[in-house]
Amino acid sequence: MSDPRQEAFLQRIREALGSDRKVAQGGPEQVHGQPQSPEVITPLTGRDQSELVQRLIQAGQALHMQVRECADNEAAANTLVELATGRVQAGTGVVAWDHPLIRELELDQRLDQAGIDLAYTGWQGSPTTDVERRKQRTRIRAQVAQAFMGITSADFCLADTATLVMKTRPGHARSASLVPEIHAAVIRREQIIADLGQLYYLLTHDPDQIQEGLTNCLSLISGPSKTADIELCMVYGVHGPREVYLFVLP
Amino acid sequence: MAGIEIGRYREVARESLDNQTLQRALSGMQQRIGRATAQKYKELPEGPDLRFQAREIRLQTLAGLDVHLERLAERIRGRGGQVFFAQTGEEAVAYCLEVAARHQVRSVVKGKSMVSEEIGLNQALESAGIQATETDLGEYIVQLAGEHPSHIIAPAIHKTREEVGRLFADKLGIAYTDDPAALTQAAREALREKFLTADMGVTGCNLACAETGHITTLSNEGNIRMASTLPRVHVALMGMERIVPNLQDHDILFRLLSRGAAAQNLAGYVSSVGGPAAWDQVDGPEEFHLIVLDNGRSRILADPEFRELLCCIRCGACLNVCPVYGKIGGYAYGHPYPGPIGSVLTPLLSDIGRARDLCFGEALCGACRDACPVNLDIPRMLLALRHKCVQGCANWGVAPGASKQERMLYSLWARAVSNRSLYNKLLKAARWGQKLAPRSGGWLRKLPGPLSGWTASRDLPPMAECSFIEQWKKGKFHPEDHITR
Repeated sequence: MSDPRQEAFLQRIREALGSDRKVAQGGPEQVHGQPQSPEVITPLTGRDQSELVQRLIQAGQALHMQVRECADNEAAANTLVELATGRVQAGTGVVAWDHPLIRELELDQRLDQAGIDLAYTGWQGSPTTDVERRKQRTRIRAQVAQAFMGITSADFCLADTATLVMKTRPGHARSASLVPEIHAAVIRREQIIADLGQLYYLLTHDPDQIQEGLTNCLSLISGPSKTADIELCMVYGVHGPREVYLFVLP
Repeated sequence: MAGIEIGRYREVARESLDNQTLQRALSGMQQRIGRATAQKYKELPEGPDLRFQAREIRLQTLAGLDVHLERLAERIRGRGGQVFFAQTGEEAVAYCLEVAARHQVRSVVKGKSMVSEEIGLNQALESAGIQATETDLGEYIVQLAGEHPSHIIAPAIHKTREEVGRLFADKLGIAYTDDPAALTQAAREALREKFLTADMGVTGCNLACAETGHITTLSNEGNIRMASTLPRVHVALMGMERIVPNLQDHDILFRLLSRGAAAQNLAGYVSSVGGPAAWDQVDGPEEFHLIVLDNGRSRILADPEFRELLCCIRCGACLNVCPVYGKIGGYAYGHPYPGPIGSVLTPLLSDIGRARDLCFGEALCGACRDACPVNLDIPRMLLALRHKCVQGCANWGVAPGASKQERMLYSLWARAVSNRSLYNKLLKAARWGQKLAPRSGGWLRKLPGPLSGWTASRDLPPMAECSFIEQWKKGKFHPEDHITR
């Protein structure tokens, strides 16, 4: 990269460091110097998944986030529709990721019967031109802005902090978990892991995760949007969702 | 320097001390967050000593800073992002304005960024006819009020709910209410409109990760996610030191950052952004710019005495425990860096001589060091700054600050304490002299002449009638008298 401005900038840093400048052996990533092993971070195995679910439920409670275990797709779909029916306001609808786990819930008909519009945040036929892409993005943006509820899945869920982990992929609008008043996420039990350390370990050691990387935006979401900026009083739903639900499928 | 203001320390501190509302707010905040943070450190699986490890990581990272930044830039560019290295605040501002002009930006939404305050970005945008809206609720409140933030994490801590209620009634045209939930809802509606119509989002960067090529921002409100998701251009500003080499280090620092900032295990929203939306993604910004800012930091890096200051991750934990901040609030420190961290950072980023009150105002009690997630030795750096203020320092352009009178007094003092018989004579004279000084409760209330400075804001205990050595020689000293007391 021959950016003279960048080179001058970095050169100033090198001069400032002088003889203290050190780049760790084994490449610059290894500055910390300690070998990364699963034992150092968190044991990946040996933790009972149902214990993780319990920890997740507890952590969720503290954060004002409701975690519900569902027996099957049917149960999850019913609860979701019930939730939507109780909260819908005139002129608003539901948006959902174009995601296999959500498609399996067959929400279209159920919501339709309840008189609620559902829009998926996926491409309607992959766009081939800039104009077409812009049009579709504008449509999705408008639907998300109009929605009272966004349904997403997640890549992982961290039990210790009740954190949903989402990479960015086609059809998975980032705004669906952010703009509507209610965010409902659907995951499978096996997607629950212990904590941030374990997540970072997976991201740097699991071949599939390494292949995909963090994508251009990795979002971690723990509970609803909140603020304590007025006299330290906790208020939920300042910009993002006021309510967050997590449905755990077997 | 456009954005950095050195406060009217003494004057504002005095006003703050008389402001009962502020005193209540500050003490409430320190009791809650300050203590909760200390507790959270104890609950860490690795224990509170993780802070020392974090410090080591930060120092080692700084030693290879050029390599990490190069790597970060390369990876972000690999995803179609643009990276601009700005030596000065002016360069950073000019770049922002250039990007804004290219996209015909009329409205900017801002996620909390200390660096943007440091470079005076808001004023520059406004002068270019671009509306810049702060979206963190606290920052939005102080922006509406035409004020500056007074705390890094809780910018409107100095405002009561009634004040916010009157402000919103006036500026947003809503009916007066002092209910925080209703006020928050009003801000939500006003700001939602801004988010959806803004052309550009500006955010800071809490920590970048070189290994993956991402910048990470955190918030509890979700406003930074909004600002980095909805507008078609996202500009992120980072101080050049805010980077870690790999995800393992990121994990450690991130957990400490959340605890230091708000006594949380993890902030509500954490976004790692590594570039603009890909072609096949349905939302997210079409352009992503990262501005890496020096603005005096390489000078701090070059000075071994202050290099550790660049370990700071701006969590604000030191503000929540500092007995001085707890009394004088954020405004006395100037802008934008208040509290113990500001007392060191502001002089070094602007002018040590002009900011000398900041260095002398802190109590050196060490509470900030113990609360710091990276164990910054702020008291040591404050002493080093005081030394420069008194003795002068060519390297930092500080003129010797001690008055002739003060120097003369100290040279006399040095002579007296190195000469026993002279010292004894002085003691005798002083013992006689103190009989003339006015007293209150047995303590000396007022000393004459150049010594009056000592008693201007405190009383002095009188000298004992008989010194330890005199008592010892006369056999009058009985240790048990002193031990039991």
